[in-house]
Amino acid sequence: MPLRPFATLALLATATLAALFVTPALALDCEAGFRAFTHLAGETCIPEQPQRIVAVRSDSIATPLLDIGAPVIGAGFRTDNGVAYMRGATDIFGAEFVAAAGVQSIGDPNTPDMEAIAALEPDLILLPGWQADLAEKASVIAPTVVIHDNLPFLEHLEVLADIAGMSGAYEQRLAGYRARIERIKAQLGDPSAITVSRFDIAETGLWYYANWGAVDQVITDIGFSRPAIQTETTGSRAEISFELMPEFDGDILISSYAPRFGQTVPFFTAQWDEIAPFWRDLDGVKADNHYWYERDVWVGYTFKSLETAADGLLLLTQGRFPAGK
Amino acid sequence: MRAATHARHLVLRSPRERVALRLPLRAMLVLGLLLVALLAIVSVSLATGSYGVALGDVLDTLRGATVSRAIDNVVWEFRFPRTLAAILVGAMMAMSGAALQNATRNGLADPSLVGVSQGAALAVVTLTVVFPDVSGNLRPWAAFAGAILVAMAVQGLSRTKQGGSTIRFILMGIGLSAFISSITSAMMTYGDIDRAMAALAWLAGSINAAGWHDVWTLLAWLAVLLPMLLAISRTMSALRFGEAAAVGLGAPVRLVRNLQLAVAVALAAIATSVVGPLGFVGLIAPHAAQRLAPAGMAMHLILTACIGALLVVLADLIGRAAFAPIQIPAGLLTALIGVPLFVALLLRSRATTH
Repeated sequence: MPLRPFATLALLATATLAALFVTPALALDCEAGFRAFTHLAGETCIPEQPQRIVAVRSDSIATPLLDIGAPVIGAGFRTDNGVAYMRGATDIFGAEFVAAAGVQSIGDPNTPDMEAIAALEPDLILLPGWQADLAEKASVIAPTVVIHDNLPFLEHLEVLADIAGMSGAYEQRLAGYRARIERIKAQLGDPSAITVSRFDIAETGLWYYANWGAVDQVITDIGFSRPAIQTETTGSRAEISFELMPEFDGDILISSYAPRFGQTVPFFTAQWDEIAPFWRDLDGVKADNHYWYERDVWVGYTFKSLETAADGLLLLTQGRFPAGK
Repeated sequence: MRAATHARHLVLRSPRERVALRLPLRAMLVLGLLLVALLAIVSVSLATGSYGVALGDVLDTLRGATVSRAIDNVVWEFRFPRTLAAILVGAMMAMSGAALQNATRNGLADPSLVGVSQGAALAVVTLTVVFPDVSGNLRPWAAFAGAILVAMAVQGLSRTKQGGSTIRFILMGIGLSAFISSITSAMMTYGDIDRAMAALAWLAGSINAAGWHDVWTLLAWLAVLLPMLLAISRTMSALRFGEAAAVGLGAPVRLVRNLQLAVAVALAAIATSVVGPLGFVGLIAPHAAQRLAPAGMAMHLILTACIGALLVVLADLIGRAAFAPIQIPAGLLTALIGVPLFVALLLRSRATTH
């Protein structure tokens, strides 16, 4: 029995397998005007300069894109008390801005209406990581990119700008923000001598979100100190026993409220007095250094939120804590 | 094949009369009406949505013509698979309920009672809230695994040295379901709010994301499970009179009882894994079928499947079109449609009994 044909076949098979293992994966071949982009759901050809972007998630994806002037035409809208609004953008820029930008609702961000997305004829669809299962359906309509949910604040904005072909606008806004932070640091002298504590109170305990949007980025960038319990807390949310409230004390205490949901400062102070009256025993509170910020604005994923939070914190601290306090 | 009409029955006989099929006329009539209603709702569903497509264009697209790429996508990729998924899921949940009610001889048994829905829910919530970086594509598999594991746990825990007991099975199911639900609630309460919201959308039972892959999955499983259920339907009929009577009739009671429980759990687990828990379908559809046309077990299962399909397709149509682009999960609407229907059926039944 001649063995040569089998030997040749074996050689060919070995060579093919070897070629498969050593040849690097070929980059996606995209048509003119498109480029390959790697994301959570794989590699996709996306427009180099998208003109009609639909972002299913409004506060962390569509809003930062609007902030840098990207052409967002559709986003998930929330409906509260019968009013549909674009979470993030409506509170930060105003309903008139959203209307003027022509952003259409594609339904609730958690259950987007795929037909409504198709009707907008987008050229790029952006999904948050936890909705990656919608990518297959969405990609039938237009190139779809799945965004990582847990990127650091500025990296998240940078990735979005890159996808939208708006890196230039992002760099410009970032430079403006950095300059503002440098000015604030110079005005404050030694920000690390001032402890800024951020917390909220609910019926079940103290609420502290680590790495919470713009306000957290600003506290870090200016270089304020934080209570040890906050620097040690990781994860997206922590519910903390009221017994640990003294550890949340600081020079400046800030808490959030959301007018969108009918929340007011008198409402919260009355509620806190009822469920945890000892919050008034904190040194910061006794020194009248407890302040409130509008949650959706200071926490938002925009440069406007960064600038608003930076200016707000400067106002609360400048000249009030001389060196060495 | 010869057909003869007896009082209230149509009897079909093979040439040498080796096989005969006795079909109740009323049940056949009801089945026909249900199929016409289903066809009508499917037609409306295919022609309705946020993307404006004329009925003629829908029909042309279904015939294979390309009116436009966008219309092709809307009809073939969104509406058609979604409608088919709703039909299949409705039929599977309904038959699961019918089989469970027969196995437990308890008219209140449905997939939620034996922990199938809760097991699937716990698995999906765990995946969404605790492991957010894991691909969402694993969600159906996790749901299926959760449902099967809990059903097996209920089965295992309810067994004694004397064998399985129906009441023990039900009580164990209720207890374990409550325990699992409390864990799910804790995760929803303490997990990240956005992820909890995402899990909530699935928990409400949404057919929003169903695609062709889901349709093929459901069809493949139905092709296996439905014949199994129909094959044991005669013994299931005997079980309606109780185990002792069924044993007296020479039925392989233990085998059939275990088999119908396994098939019921599998039907619900597969359906839940695709669209999330759809409440009340498994509870209501068998009762509705029984009230509309009392029939033998095989016909009862088919009628039940049709009613379940009708209920879920209708719920999905209303949910996606009534307040578009806001999508109301089908699970909420099956409850809204189903509960008044269930109460009406019970009241009618009570009036008839009295």
